[in-house]
Amino acid sequence: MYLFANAAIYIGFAVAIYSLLVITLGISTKNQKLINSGKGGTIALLVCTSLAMLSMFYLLATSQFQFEYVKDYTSSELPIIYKLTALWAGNAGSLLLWTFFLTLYTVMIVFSRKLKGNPMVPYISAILMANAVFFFFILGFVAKPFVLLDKVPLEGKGLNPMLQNPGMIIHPVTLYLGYVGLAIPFAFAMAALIMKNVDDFWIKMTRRWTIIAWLFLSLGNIFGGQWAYVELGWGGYWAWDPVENASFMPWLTATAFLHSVMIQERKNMLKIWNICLIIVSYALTLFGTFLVRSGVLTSVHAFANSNLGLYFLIFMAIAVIGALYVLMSRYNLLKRSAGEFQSFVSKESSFLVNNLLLVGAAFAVFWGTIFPLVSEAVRGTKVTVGLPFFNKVEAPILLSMMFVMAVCPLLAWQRSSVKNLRKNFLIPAILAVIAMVLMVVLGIQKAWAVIGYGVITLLFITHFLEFYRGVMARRKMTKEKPLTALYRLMIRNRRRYGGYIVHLGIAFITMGIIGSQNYDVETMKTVPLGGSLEINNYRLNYERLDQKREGINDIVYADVTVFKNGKRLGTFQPEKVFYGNWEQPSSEVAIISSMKEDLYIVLSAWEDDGKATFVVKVNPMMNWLWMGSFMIVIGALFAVWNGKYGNVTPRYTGVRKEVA
Amino acid sequence: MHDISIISMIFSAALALTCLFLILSPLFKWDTYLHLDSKNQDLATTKEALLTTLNEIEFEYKMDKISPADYKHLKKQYETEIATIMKEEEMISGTTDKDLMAEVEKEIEEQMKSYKNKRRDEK
Repeated sequence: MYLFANAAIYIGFAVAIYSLLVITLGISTKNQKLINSGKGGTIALLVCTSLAMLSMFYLLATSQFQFEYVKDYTSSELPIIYKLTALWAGNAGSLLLWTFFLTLYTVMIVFSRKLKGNPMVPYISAILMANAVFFFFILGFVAKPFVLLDKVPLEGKGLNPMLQNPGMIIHPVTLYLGYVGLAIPFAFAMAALIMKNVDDFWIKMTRRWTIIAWLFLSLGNIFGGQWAYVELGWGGYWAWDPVENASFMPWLTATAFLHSVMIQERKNMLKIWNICLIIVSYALTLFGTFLVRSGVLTSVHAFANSNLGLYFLIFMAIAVIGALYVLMSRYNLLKRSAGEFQSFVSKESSFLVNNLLLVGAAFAVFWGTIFPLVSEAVRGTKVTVGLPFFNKVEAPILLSMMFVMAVCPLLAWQRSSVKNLRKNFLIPAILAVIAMVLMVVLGIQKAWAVIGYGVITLLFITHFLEFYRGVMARRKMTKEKPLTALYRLMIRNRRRYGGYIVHLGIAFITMGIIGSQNYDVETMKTVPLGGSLEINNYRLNYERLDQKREGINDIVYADVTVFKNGKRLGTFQPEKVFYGNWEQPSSEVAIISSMKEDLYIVLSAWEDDGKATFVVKVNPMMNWLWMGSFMIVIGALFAVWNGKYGNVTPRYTGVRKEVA
Repeated sequence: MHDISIISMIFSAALALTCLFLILSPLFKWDTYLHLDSKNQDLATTKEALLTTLNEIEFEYKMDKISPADYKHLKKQYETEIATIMKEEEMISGTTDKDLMAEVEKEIEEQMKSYKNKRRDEK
């Protein structure tokens, strides 16, 4: 197995170099045979990475501790699912997974039916192949997933218990799918520039890829947050940790990109901006990996310190410099024939504002993340940038974004008149203000919450009106039944209505964020056996403290009966788990979840006489957050679903010049 | 030192051979040529996109997002553009038809000639 698994990696490395060279040669000599040979190389690479992955799965599943990676991340008593998912628990394995996705995507692009015979394919393949060379180099010479130990240990170190959670099974996979997915539009953009195709063909071809990559990035972040919430036991879901930021930044720029490409498709504008956005998004995926794997920043989930990050930094620098060079050399071509804004009151101008906000948010996160490094370099001390900075900067940006999202459906492309906007805006705005007054009357009095919920109310109303007016306009023409009209309206314009569903999802998430950030209540109390503690309208009766053994782990748990307004909700068991093969214990929290709020119970400590200390939190509206996440998935899938309609994008040609 | 068994050697060799086959076999195929897709920004696609635009403008007008004056202005603008494209299309199809007709006429003439010659020979 040792020979075979390593052979798969080194053969892959050789094939990647060969394919890159042969495709480049094929392009310069216009020799299709050479290009086809390189295309064959992409399949060979997929075979290599698949076999390397299968080998790793086999080694992990059968606990072959003579392999360093298997010893470092598994142990024999680990459930099989976590043995297998340990593949992405460490540096080497996760890079193997990344390389596998990269080769898979490359094959899908190279042999895509839509792109058959397209002259862009060799260029795209070459760019993706350059990525593959880098990753195979890393696998073969730096990370080395298949290293044998001199002595075979009897037992492995085991998997970090924090990672033994269903969220962790899927979180890295979705994140990597998103990261790698962004390489595709990047490769297309570069190929288009190199070939001097400055039209929107590359955008049309990568539309689905970009949305899918964006969806995976979103899922990666959401699963990460969900995991943090249920597993880390601190009651939160997002801590602006450098690694979280690393995956959030490309999400922000990719979101901006998703919107601004629509302007290019329809109005032939923002060509340079779009290319810059995709370069930045792609570079940020590499930058994130550099942050996670270099150890330059301390983080809860950074990988072990290694020089891997440096390689990513160098590769990122090469990619960015190369991309910028190509961009600058085609600058004049891109500048020519670009459309212009005609009206400040139009959908495209609202998209532009949204773009600026998203990029601004990304920059703020970037600055906050690298500031410790900058301060260390300049002043010699590492200043940590904490939660307050991010919350202070990001909250107004998020609110402004919600406002733009709320207004956007009221605007038409190219030209909306202020009069129409005023007419359409007035009633929703009045209703939103009434809602805000109601909130204040009902006791929601924190400024951020009132403004936030007010803007979200406006968003809900304008989105509802968009659906309603759409159905009405359709019915006027077709006389269909309302539901049929709604269904047909939506499937004939998947991207637009899918996008609106995503907007609603984001609104739900924001509601969850506002609720849980502004109205969470926490208490920590040491309670004697039989005693109780109260928080809001909950009463927790501490009834029993006991211990049990599960496998090699010792679990201490408390029986807590929870009452809400005097009504019994049940008995719950927050736990503290002491692992047989891991030093630090972890908390298994008890969460009693409802649409209104979560009751979050952590067993923190106990004494010999049975006294126990509990940390109890009430987190309002947490389920709204997860519900919004679900809507994002639905909306994105609806938008990319391959339907009969909506494959032609309207094209606005701009103002006709009467005189020149 | 390491568990380099015969089986793993065979599998590694098989993998190497498969990869070699995948990258070398295209080099020995005869029927390959460089596909060059002419950048066919053809009129039909533009027309279709403009018709969709017109449709969208009409829909947004019905949804009260555009003022009647703007709607009229935009509608006229895109209708003119579509009409121009249709004219161009017509001209292209017109020339093809003319060519075709000329060719058909020529062929008929030739056939008539040969028919007449034949008749003359028969006489």
